[in-house]
Amino acid sequence: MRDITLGQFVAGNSVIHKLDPRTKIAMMILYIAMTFLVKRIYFMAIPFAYLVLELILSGISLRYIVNSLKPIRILLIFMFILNLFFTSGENVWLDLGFWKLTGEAVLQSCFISIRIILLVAGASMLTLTTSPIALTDGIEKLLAPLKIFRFPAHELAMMMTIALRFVPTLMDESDKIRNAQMSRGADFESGNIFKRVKSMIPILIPLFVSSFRKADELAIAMESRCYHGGEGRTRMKQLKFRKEDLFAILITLLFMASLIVLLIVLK
Amino acid sequence: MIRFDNITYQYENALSPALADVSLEIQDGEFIAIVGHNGSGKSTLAKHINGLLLPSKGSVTVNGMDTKVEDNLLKIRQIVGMAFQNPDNQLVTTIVEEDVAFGPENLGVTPSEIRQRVDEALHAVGMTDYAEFAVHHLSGGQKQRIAIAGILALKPQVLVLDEASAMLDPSGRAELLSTVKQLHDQGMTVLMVTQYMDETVDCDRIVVMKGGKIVLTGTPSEVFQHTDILLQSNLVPPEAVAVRDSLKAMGYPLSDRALNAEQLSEELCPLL
Amino acid sequence: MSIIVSHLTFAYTQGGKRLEPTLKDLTFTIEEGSFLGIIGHTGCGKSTFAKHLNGLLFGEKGAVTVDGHDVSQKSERKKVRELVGMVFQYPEYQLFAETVFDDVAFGPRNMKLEPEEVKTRVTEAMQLVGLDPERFSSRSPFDLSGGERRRAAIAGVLAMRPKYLVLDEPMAGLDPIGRREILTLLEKLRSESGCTIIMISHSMDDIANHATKVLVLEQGSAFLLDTPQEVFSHADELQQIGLSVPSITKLCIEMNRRGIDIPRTICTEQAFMDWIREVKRNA
Repeated sequence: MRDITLGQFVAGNSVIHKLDPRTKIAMMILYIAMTFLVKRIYFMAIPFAYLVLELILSGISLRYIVNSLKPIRILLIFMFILNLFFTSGENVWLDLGFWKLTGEAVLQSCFISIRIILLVAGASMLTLTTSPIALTDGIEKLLAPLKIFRFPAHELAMMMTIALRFVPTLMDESDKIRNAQMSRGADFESGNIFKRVKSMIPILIPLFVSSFRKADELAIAMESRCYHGGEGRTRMKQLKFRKEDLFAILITLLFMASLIVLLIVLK
Repeated sequence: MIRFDNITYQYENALSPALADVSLEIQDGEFIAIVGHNGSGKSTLAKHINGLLLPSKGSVTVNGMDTKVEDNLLKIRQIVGMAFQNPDNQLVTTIVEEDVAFGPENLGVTPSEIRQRVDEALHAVGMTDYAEFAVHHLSGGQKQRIAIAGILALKPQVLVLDEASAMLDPSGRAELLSTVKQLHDQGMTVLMVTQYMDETVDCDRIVVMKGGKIVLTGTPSEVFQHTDILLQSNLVPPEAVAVRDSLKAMGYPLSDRALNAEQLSEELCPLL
Repeated sequence: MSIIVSHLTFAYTQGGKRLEPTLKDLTFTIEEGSFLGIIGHTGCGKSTFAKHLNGLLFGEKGAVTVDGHDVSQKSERKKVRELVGMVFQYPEYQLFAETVFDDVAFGPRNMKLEPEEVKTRVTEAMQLVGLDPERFSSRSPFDLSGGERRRAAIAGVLAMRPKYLVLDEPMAGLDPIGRREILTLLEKLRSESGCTIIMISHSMDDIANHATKVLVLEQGSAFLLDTPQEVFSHADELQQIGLSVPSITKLCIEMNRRGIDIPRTICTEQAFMDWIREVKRNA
């Protein structure tokens, strides 16, 4: 099976793994806020340091983070080039007449790229250290107060649980169908974009049909196992907010505070 | 006890009923196999036990509770656990133990008791070591055992296997079958829907279905006397039984109890 | 002409790391017109090997050639995929077109055949698998019964008129009639059009009854390659690597245990009954 790191959980026993998912979601939100507060490239050092600290504490191999960046490499390159072209500046490095390469543009390109990398890496840290179930539990609990507005928090969480469960299964299945159609002479590699999209039909239709069948069978199996919605449901693993969670939040806030101080002082 | 009283069921848009006036009683602690070709109504029958399907005519009762009464369904589904054909399409969550916990969570069992039930259920199917594995890394046979563990966590009295072995390889089938036999030995009522006749040899009773009707019931040795009815029902008796019948036709006096290689050779060897 | 496998070695990679080889130094020839049964427990490399026969995968070492065409060459692959038909597990899951006709025609159309020729081939393939073209051509493949869907999917492969037909567990999940239909079809293909059959199966009885050669794969290596009679006479070794043996072989083993001297090469009902008749005559 092909590698998919984005959204993949790596089991472990680290401090980070043991944190309450709600804590980790809060940490990620604060972390994202940090990367957006930063307006100059060297201040990125603070969210970066935070990420490195989290990475070390979690014991997750750097390889996973690198892998999670692979799917966005095209986006990264695109954003980099885009900013090279559309950032104006005075410090001209190269003048081609119609376009000037400026120091500011290079700096801005690097800055944007680093921000995207840090964002994706941070989000990956959350999914790498939090089991999908814990994550959905966390989201469900965080959204629970919205239930009074008839917000379907439980249903949303259940949908996410099932989606996560079936991603690998459907990946395997699409591989199988692809192989079968290739054996019948299907060509997915040549031709222009329209031809290629059209050539995906023999894969997509069986995949849809199979997803519907899976949904059907799963619904029957869930019903047989006494599923009747979120009402009166308990959970085996209770979410517990412990000392460590408080500590983690405090540390995150500390990073946040120091960043804000820096921003004010070094304006 | 499960009772089917003259039940008839017709799928929407179907020309003929999938079940036509079927009656059957299943005693507590029984190991019963329901066999039949595709479309014989065997799976339709199984899906009536826990109210997934409701009969158009007649009634199905589980321990006296009618499946047609909406309020009974949750109780019935606790009593009757059901495992299905495709191992992939009945596991709900990514991690093994969380999937096993799904049933008792639905019932609102306390967290500490769910933990205990999950551990017991995983132990019963011999999958304790896999508690924290991701479901998609398991083999088909292992997935089916997890599905059964998920059912056991509901503490059912009846286990229904709706062609649960059909998609497994021989070792997966053997795994599943031995797990089920063990549960039966501990007092579970088992109803196994299958088309593999060799799986039925150790059952207490076999029910043969054809065209929505029961055409034959009896102990394995009784049922396998009627190879003709089996063949008419588009079923193939186990190879040992086919050989036994050919040998009998040649004049070897073999009994109806010879259903597998061991029993057959035991009777045949002294005659050679 | 034949399929020649020489020193084929293949390993999957995961996360950039090379895993333990799935196939290790396989060397043998699949003769034209033969019926090769491939057995081995799940994970032994059977399905991986099958994908090498039409270039869906190709080994890092060694080669597979089909009638002289090297499957690892991109330029040869189109030809190879026409020569070697592939029926994967649960092939009905690959059906996609609006009508049975269009689905079966997918392969021939990819071969850029003339519409007339496509029609001839589709009709021929549907007849082969026992789906009456008149009745089934314009129906949706999703409205068919399980057994019919399976046969429609197989027809989609046969319509390319493959010389070699590779089938991975073609009978899985079918009821006894469905199984018999598929086996009859394979025998017919072999006897009437001389199609070479390569079938992966867990059913030792089917392999014993139909295969002319049996390949036993164990951890990616060829453990045994011989006639079914010879292969199944090694019952003890097969059981040691976790494989079962045909029902008749089981019976012979039990009889051996009780002191009856029945040869272990007997693995089909036919052979067994012949042996019994022989015993009876000599008695």
